[in-house]
Amino acid sequence: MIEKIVFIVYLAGMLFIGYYFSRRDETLEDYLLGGRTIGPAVTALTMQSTSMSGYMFMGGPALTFKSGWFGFWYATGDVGGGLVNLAILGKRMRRLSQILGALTPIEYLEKRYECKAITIIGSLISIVFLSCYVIGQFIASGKTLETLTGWPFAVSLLIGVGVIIGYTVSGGYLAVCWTDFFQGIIMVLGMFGILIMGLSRVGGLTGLNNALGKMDPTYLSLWGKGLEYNNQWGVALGALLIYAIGYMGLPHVVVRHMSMKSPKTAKVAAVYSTIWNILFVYSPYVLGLIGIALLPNLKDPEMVVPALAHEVFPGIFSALLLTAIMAAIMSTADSLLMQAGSILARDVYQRFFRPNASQKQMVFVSRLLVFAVGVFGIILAVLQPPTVFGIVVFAFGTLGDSFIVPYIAAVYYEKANKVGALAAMISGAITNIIWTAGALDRTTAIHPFLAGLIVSAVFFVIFNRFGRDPSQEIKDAVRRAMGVRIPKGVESGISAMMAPEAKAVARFLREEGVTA
Amino acid sequence: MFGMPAASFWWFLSWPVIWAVLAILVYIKMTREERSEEGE
Repeated sequence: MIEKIVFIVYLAGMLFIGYYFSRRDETLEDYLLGGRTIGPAVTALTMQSTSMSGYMFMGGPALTFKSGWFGFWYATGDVGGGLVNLAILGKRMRRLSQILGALTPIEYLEKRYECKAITIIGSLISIVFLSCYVIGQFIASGKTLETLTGWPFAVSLLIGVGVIIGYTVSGGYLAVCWTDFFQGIIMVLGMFGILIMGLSRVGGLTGLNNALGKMDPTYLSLWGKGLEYNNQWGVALGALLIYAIGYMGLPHVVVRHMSMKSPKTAKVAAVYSTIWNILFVYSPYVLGLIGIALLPNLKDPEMVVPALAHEVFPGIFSALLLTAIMAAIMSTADSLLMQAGSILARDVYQRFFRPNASQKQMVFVSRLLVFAVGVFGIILAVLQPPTVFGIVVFAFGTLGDSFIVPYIAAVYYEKANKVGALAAMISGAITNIIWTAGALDRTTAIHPFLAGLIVSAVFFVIFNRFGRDPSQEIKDAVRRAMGVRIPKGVESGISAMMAPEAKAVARFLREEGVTA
Repeated sequence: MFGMPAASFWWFLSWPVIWAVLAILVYIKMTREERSEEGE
């Protein structure tokens, strides 16, 4: 009963915050980017709570539950994901997006690379894989509610999806960022609290490892239970990199750079993100390990955290964890849906079908997509539900492999052109899809994300040679985004060279009586 | 080392420290860049 009361209070609070901030949306820039007014604390927490989805409470713990410490390859990279993203892209993307007047991450790529095809292909990849990603969140919400309330999965799924959709369509970007901010705080407090409780049950980290070592010493190894991935460094590196650098390719995450108050916001946000990640990211993976010790007969590994909450920490702690899980799911799902909807409305509907579309019409199109994804997600989840881990890693990897190279090249290489960017996007996506579908990581010992990233980078280098250089206007914009200044020595040299002419001009003006 | 093999300990549990140090270095670097861009 207490779970339901806490959950209802939490939902009411989030709806109120969403409603309060949605009233501030006056222009399209307000609706899509919060008027570019987001400060460092909110930028950091909206970025991190959006990045950490239901995966963190289902997929990550399931991995350590099945494989032991091997799952920490994913966690170690994830801790630095926000820092890497903000340090590499933050400041430059903020500047360039404003110089180009771009309001969505796809519009940004189109304007940077001066190419309409990028919008078509980028929108297609984004909408399809952001939707896959959000379906993973729907399934996570259904599974969580099923465990903690005892309702059948289909009923739990309907309620979970209904809550997510209703809550998302109630506000714009600013509302999403501020609710994410509070959800980020709930997530870290809830998770950290449960971790301390869990560790105290198993005699701390040392007690936990001793227990695991007695059950099967390979749980403690770098290579998984039964040394499943023994010395497969390609798999380990891919697992480390997917969340360390992968966020730079996610449209719903990089849009946070575009909405920052100023380029200076990035440095403080990077520090806040790292602190938050250090406190949060390891916890669910450790809970997966605790599950091995306390719930060895659990049937569905993805249910290890909800099951721990339900069976080991009943009452207020269970309610706290339920709220934290739903906060993780909702803070990611609302951003995914908001981004997919914005891309469909702004980059597809307004760009190609109705250039004079009003904001009201665009919001309607955006909500139509949210509804369609919801219906499709429910059908898929009921008929043949994929694992949260599988669908999230697949969607995440495909988005990352498509967009990382074009986003980084956009602000670090002024000669990056549309042919190189298109080749990188298409080859990265296709490689990840083929690698995952064919389970090629088993035969090649290379993670699908790493394979896609390598292919995307190589294709960019090769095909960029065949394209024309961007216009001078774009090159100048990229240089301004880089913050390139004329070196001080050159400035003083120019001043010395121009001095005689400046004096002559001043003398002429005095003689003509133009100046005093 | 918390009952873990040394390899697992160093590969997994040293990373929070590495990321925290990197965050401080990034902060310092970005502050310097800002000063240089503002011509101070």
